[in-house]
Amino acid sequence: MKKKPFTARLRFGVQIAFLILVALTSLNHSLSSYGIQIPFFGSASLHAICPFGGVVSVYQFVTIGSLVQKVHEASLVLMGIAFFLVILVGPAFCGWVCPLGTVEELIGKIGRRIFKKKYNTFVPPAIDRYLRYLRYGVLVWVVYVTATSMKLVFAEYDPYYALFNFWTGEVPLTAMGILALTLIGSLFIERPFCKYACPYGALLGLFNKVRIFTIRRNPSTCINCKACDRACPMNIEVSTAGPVRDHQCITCMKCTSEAACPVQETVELMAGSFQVKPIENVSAGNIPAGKEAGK
Amino acid sequence: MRTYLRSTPLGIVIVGLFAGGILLSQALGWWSTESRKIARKITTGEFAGKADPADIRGSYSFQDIEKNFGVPVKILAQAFAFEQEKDPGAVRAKDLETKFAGAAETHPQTQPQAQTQPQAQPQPAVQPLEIGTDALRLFVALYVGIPYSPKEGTGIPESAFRVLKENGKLSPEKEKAILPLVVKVGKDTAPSGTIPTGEKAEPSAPISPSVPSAGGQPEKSPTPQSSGGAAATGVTSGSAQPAGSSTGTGGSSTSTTEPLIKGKTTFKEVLAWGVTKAQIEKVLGCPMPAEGTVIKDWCASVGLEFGTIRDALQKLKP
Ligand code: SF4
Ligand code: SF4
Repeated sequence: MKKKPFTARLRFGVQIAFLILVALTSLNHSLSSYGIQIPFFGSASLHAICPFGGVVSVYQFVTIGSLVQKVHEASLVLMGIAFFLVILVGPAFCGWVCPLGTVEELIGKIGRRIFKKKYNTFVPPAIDRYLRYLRYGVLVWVVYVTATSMKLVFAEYDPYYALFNFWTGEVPLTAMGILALTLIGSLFIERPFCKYACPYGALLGLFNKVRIFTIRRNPSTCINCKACDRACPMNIEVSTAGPVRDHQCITCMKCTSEAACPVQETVELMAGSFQVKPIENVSAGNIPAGKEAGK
Repeated sequence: MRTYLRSTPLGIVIVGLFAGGILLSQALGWWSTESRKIARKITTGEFAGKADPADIRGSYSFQDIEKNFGVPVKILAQAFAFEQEKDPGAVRAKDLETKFAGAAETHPQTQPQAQTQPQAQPQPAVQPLEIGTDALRLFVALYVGIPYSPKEGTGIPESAFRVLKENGKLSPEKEKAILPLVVKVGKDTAPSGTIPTGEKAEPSAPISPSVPSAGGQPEKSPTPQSSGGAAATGVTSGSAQPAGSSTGTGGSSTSTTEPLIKGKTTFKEVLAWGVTKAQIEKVLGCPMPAEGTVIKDWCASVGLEFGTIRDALQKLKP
C-alpha cells in the first residue's frame, strides 16, 4: 500500500486534534448542567467558539455595541485569528481546522473506497460551476437576517451546530436535516457543504484573491500530468493555473509538490513567484522516488 | 523574493496562531466564552442610549440586571420571592421558570372578579400564564419606565406587582394594563404579606394597544384575549418614562431618584423631606407615632391600608 505523504498525515493530525477539542468542549458544555466535567477541556457553548459567530455579530457590535445573542467575545477573538490566517495563507481554517470539514472528509474516505475514481465527479461541471456561488447567497442572507433580527438565525440551519449538539435535543429539525444531507452527500462529493452552502467558507474564500502565500504552479517545470487536478478536493484545475486564485481553494496542500505533484518545486505554497526555468531543466532527477506522475 | 511555506511550518503557524491568539486574548482579558451580560442599548427615540429590557436573556443574573438597569437585587428578590435565597444576586432569569412552574396556572383575574362580582356573572376564561425570563423583562421595563410588550402568555407574580406598586412604578393606566397578567402564586413562592384587598379587587381594565419593543427588536405582540388578555405594559410611549424620571400620571407617581415610601420607610424619613408633623397627622387622622416607626407596620397595627396612606403621604412630598 502506498504510504501517505507526510503533509497529508500532518494535516490529518491537526484536523483530528481540532475535532476532538471542539467535540469534547461541546460535550463538556452539555455535561456541565449535570455537574460533570471532562478534565482539561473547557465547557464553552459551541456558539462561543465559532469564529463565524463573530462575523455575523460585527454589524450589531459596531452599531449597537453588543454581540448577537449566544455569541461571546471569544468568537470575535477567533474571528480575528482566522482573518489573520486567511490573509496570510488563505482559507487554511477550512482545510486544517474546521471540524465539519474534517467529518465531511472522513465520510468522503468511505465514498472514495466505494466509487474509486468516480468519487467527487458526480456533479456535471456545467451545473457545478454555478452551484459554487450558492454559498455567497447563503452568506448574504445570514448576515442580513442576523443584522435585522439580532438573533443567531443560522443556528436553525447550521449542520456544524447540529453535529456537536445532536445529543442535546435542542437542535432544530432543519439543522439536523441539513447535517444528514451533508453527511450523505459526502459519500458522493468531497466536502459538499463547504463547496455549495457554507457561508463562512464563502467569506474566507474571497481572500484567495489577495492572500500573501498562494498556491502556485511553475509552468516551466510542470509536466502536465494533472496529478494536482485529481488530488484537489475542491475540483480546482491547478494544472492550468499559475497562482491558484480560485475562491474555493482551502490550502489543503494536496496538490503541492510535497504531496500529489511528482515534480519538485512545481506546486508550492509560496509568497512571490517562481523563476521561469527553461523546460529542458526538468529531468527525471527532479521527480522524487516513489512519485509517479498521474497516480 | 520568493518564500516557500511547506506543510510543517504551515501546521505550526496554524496551531501556533490559534493557541497563541487564545492565550494572548486570555492574558488581555478579551477571552470570554460566556456572556458579559451587557444589555444592548436602545438606539432610537425617547429612550435612546438606555439599556433595553427586551435584551434580558435567560442567563442574566439579578446582579447583571442591577448592573445594566439599576434595579436593585433586593427589589428583584422581593418581586420574585427569592428573599430567602443565600445569594439572590446569583439567581438567573431562567430560574424563574423552575420556581414558578405550576404556580402560574390560573389567570389571576378570576380571583378579584370572583370577589367583586355576583356569582351569576360569567367568569373569564382561565388562561395559563408563564412566569419566566419574559416576566423579568416586563418587571424591569415597568420598574425603569421603558415600554415593553410582553410575549403572549407572560404573567408576573403578585409579589412583583406589589413591589412595583409599593415603589410607585405603576401609574393607574399601567396598573390597569398589567392587572390581567398578575398571577396569584402559592404560599411557598410568594413572599410574606399580601396584596391589599382593594388592589386585588380592582377590575380588569381595557387593554391598551401594544407598543413595539423600544429597542426595535421585533417582539411578538400580545393579542387581546377574551379574559382581558395580555397587556402592553408600555401603555404608550408618551406615558412611559425613562429610568429615574417620573413614572406614571397618578398621585403616586414617583421616581427612582426621588424619595419614595416603601415597605420599610419610617415617619422620620418622611419628615426629612420637609413635610411637617401636622401634615402627616392630617393624613393619618390621628397623632403621629414615634418618628422611627415603620409606616407600613403602623398601618397594619391600626388596621389602615398601607397603600392608601402611602399614596396620600407621597403626595405631601414638596
Ligand atoms: S488548489 Fe491545492 S491547496 Fe487548494 S484546495 Fe485544491 S488541492 Fe487544496
Ligand atoms: S501535478 Fe504538478 S506536474 Fe502534474 S500537472 Fe499538476 S503541477 Fe503539473
